[in-house]
Amino acid sequence: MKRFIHWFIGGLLVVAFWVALPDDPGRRSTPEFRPDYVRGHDDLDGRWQMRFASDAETPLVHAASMVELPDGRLRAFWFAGKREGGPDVGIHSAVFDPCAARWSDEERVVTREQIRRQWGRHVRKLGNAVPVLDDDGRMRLFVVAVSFGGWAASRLVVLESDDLGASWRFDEALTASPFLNISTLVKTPPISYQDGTVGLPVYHEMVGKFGEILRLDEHNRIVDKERIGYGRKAIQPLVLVDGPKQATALLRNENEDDQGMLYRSDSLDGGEDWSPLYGSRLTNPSSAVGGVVLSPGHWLVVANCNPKERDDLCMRETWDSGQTWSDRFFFHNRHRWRADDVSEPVYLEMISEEVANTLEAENPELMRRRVEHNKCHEEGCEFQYDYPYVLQASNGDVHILYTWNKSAIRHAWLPAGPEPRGEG
Amino acid sequence: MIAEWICALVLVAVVLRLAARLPLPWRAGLAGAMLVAALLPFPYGLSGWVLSYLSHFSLSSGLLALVAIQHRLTGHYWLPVWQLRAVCVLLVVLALWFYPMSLGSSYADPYALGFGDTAFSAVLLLMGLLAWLYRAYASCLVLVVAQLAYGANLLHSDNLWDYLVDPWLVFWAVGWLVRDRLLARRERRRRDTADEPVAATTARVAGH
Repeated sequence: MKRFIHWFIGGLLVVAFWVALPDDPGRRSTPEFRPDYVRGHDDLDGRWQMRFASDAETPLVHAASMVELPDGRLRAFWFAGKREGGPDVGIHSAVFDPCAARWSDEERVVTREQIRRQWGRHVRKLGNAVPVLDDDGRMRLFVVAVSFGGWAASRLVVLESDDLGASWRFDEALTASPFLNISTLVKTPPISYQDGTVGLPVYHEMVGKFGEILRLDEHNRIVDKERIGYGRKAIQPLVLVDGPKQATALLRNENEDDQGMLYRSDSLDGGEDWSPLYGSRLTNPSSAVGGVVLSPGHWLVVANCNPKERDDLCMRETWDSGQTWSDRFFFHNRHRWRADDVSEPVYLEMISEEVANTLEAENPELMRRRVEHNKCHEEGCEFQYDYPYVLQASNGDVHILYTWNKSAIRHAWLPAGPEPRGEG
Repeated sequence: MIAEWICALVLVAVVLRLAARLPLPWRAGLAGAMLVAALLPFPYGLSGWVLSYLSHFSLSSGLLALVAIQHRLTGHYWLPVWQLRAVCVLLVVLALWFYPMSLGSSYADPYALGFGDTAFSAVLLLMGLLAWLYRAYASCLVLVVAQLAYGANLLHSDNLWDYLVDPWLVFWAVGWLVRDRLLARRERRRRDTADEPVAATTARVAGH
């Protein structure tokens, strides 16, 4: 009997080994990106149109993201509530129709209570949300959810939608860290792989501050995870894919000893390995970066362009994969009014000008009041333009969403010119 | 639901440890009450709240909790102490390497191996076979159950590490090793004091 038990347990060990083997080992060892730039539309000659995607119904909005729908419209998401991290914060959404050049009314599509109920876990607050539209029309939304503590204790939950983002159901919480499964956040756009998996750039900010790419299959199963940087240096990786094997990540600098520029890391093997972080030559005050690849080596990057504050927002362009950069456009530039040296009336006058320069601003007075509430203190007022999210639509249009003074999600739209002859 | 069951077992084991001095019927009643309280649906049940804060427990913690419950209710401890000691040492050493690297102290990320890696599975098989050769069947069963549960995705984690270890298991292992050491020292001291009169008598006889 003892002999039988001995050999039975030995057999079980072999069976368990076989069960735990990866389904497709090649998937991990030979990944290939699926570049998604729009061919024939890398020449930007149009004129930017500015709009508000949010309607100022909530006092605070932040961290917008978006996805193109199959019919060419855009659906945007952001979190909104009375204050950042407040219990009333939910995920809001609106749809932009480029044919009508108009945003739909803002809607609350995901609430903390909904996730709490469907997940069966306590949820204290919600944060950034990043959408993915699959080829079969299913939409996935990766949302930062916190059960206790601050953002460093974040977890990622996945919601799914069969009606292009109008309504959502909880699918699962991703387990991406071995220590209480905390400190995983999203901010930047996902990337695609040739085998149909999705690369979700995430970052950690509890013990270490570093970026990673979670590779997910269609069942939201994590099939691989690759690290971009380590230690306490950089977060929020923006991954710019140049080719099946080649990509560059730009990361927000969190290194206390070496501030003032974005970090960069490169991969030449489909994201299996990333080079050590190094300076990107892009000045930045440790704030989020957005960007898009227009053609191999030709990138647009939107971020704050000074080493100190988030009081400007510019678009920079490179034609040589980031070896050299040129300032392409300044959406905002308020350097002169830095350090709270602008009085409230003057500040509000400038805010009113920005609202006036925004098309179809529904309620300018409410917008002004929101900014006053969010950005003016006893010492003075300050400007804040941050968290850009950039997308190039399939027709070549470039869209940028960013947080405007914590009070609105502002949309910059650059309609593409006519398609160049002979390209497509 | 498996995560809730494992959490419930851990909570029952903790309650039984705290109530170790109570009579058996009381302990059994407490264990039953805790099991029910833990398994009530969220937000009424304890498991949902505990898991909200601590994330899930590994299969290893669940199996260990089962052994602890059995011990507290029957008084019989079937796990050989030498095996437990070896596993605890292995767990602590592993944790010292695994957690700092997984939390970002280096480019290498051992946690990523758990998302499906042939070499990692092969190492586990080798460890299992080593334990099997030494007839350490408890360790073998932990490895088997954890890998089978991973294959069935019972914990809703895609990472094999989450089925094998968790930080609370490591904390428990540290505590067990400290207690083991203290008990060993106390035993040695008790033996020394018991030997002392005999030794003194022997010396006196030798001197005489």
